[in-house]
Parts: sequence; C-alpha cells; structure tokens
Amino acid sequence: MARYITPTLTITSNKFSATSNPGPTSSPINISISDLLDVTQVDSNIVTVSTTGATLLTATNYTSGTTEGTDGAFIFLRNLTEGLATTADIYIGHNVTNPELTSGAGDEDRLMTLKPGEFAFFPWDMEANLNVDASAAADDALEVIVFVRTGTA
Amino acid sequence: MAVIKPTLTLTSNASTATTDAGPLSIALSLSATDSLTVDTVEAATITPTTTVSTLFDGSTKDIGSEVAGTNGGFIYFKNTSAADHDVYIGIEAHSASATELQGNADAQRLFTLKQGEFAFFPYDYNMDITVDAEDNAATLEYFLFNRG
Repeated sequence: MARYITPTLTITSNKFSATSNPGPTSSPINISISDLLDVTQVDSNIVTVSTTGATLLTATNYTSGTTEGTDGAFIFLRNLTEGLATTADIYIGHNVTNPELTSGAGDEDRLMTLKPGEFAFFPWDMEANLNVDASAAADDALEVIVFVRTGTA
Repeated sequence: MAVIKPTLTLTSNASTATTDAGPLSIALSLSATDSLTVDTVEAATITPTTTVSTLFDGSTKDIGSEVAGTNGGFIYFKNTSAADHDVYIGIEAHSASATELQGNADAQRLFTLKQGEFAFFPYDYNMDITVDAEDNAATLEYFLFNRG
C-alpha cells in the first residue's frame, strides 16, 4: 500500500528597495512548491556532533541496489544548535569512505555547511554515505529524518 | 546584504487514513523556517541532456574561497519537465571532468529528481555540481542564492 508525505517549500524575499529585510532582487521573490512523495520507511534521529567526522547515514544499510529514481530517500536535516550555549556549524559530506570534513577550502568531500538554525531537504540516491562533522562538539545538535522511497530494494 | 526566507513543511496523514495514508501511525506535521543573508542570485530553467555537464563550477564562485559557513550558497532545484523525465544531480571534484550520472554504482550521483520533485540545500562550492538527464526533453529550474 502506498504511503505518502507532502513536502511544501516556500522561498520569499522582499524587493531590494524595501526598508526592512530587503531582498536580493529588484522584485520580490515568491517561490512555492509542493509535491506528493511515495515513501515507506521513516527514520528519525537527533544526533550529537563532534569535531571528528563520522558516518551519518550508511547507504548499504538502506539498499543493495542503486537504480536512479527507484532506490533512494528524501533527507531532512536541521541544525538545532541555534540559541544554545554551544553552537556549531555542521558539515555534511557525500563520500563512501572518508567521513572527516574540514572547514577550509580544498575539502572536496564537504557538500554543505548548516549553520545554527539552517535546514536542508533533498533526495539521496544512496550511492555513497552521508557524513557529518562539526566546528564544535554539541549534544543533540542535528535533526535527521530519512523518508525511504517506495521501491527501494 | 539581503534576506530570503525559506520555509519547509512536511506533512502526512496517519497510516489509517483512507486518502493519501502516511507512513506512520500518527499524522506528521513538521515545519522549519529560517532567515538567510544572501547577496547575488543566479536563476534559470535549463534543458539538461543525456550527456552530463557541469552546472556550477564551485571554483569560480566567491573567487574560489571555500570557507565553511562563509563561502557558499543555497540551491533550489525543481524538475519542471513536462513529462516523466528524471534529472540527475551529481558532485565532482574541481579538477575532474564531469562523468555520466545515469546507472548503478555511481558515487558521483547525489540524487535523482523525478518529475515535479524539488530540493533545497546549502552548497559549499568545494566541489562542482553536475547535471544529467534521462531524456533530452527534461527541464530543470534552479536558483542559487550566494551567502552574503
């Protein structure tokens, strides 16, 4: 039986000439998108991060296949350290073997940095692991929710 | 500096619902919002082909600086194809040539966007973003908001 989630994303900004919170363009931006996604398994976790890299999601724990559009998941990540006594920038990487991620230039395994309060929502084809590292150790710092695509072998 | 406000909601019905049943026994209602400081914006709707190409060369962004949390951007992707054509998004080292993303066991393929699917995530410019498609008629909308 099919199971569904509905993600909805809006991105808005004021026009550049606005006196409060001006946006990056001369006209306001108003992006709105919604979709109905067919999923099965849901894994949710709050993760403690440190300055030592670690595997966040192991691809082979979810699938033995890697067929594009069939095997995979939708990932929600959110840095929960905003407003805490200890905040951390959280680094996310995409690599089979090396979970260590540095903050500097030249680390071609670091896909993104989530500053405190920032979030991401993206598909993941489980072709490589997702790894995590951080600028500081912080307990209960990263929310991770995995929605596995229906059809994932 | 400028500000954009992304908001994501994730909802699902309980698994017992008769319409669009969710994956959990309880209904899900998640909401995340943020205020992001940005400066420049790149946006386009492109027609990727079945031959891979580099969409974003990270080494040319923010004059090649790649400091975590300082240099980078936020990417919005939407597969706007008029028919059921998948779009593949990959990552590649600056020094490497883009490699085809379709097929099994391809560690360069980060994700697949099926028709109507979207993504929103930070991007640190440490690598290139590549794009490939199932069909030459596929279309992809993108916005790249540079961190301010």
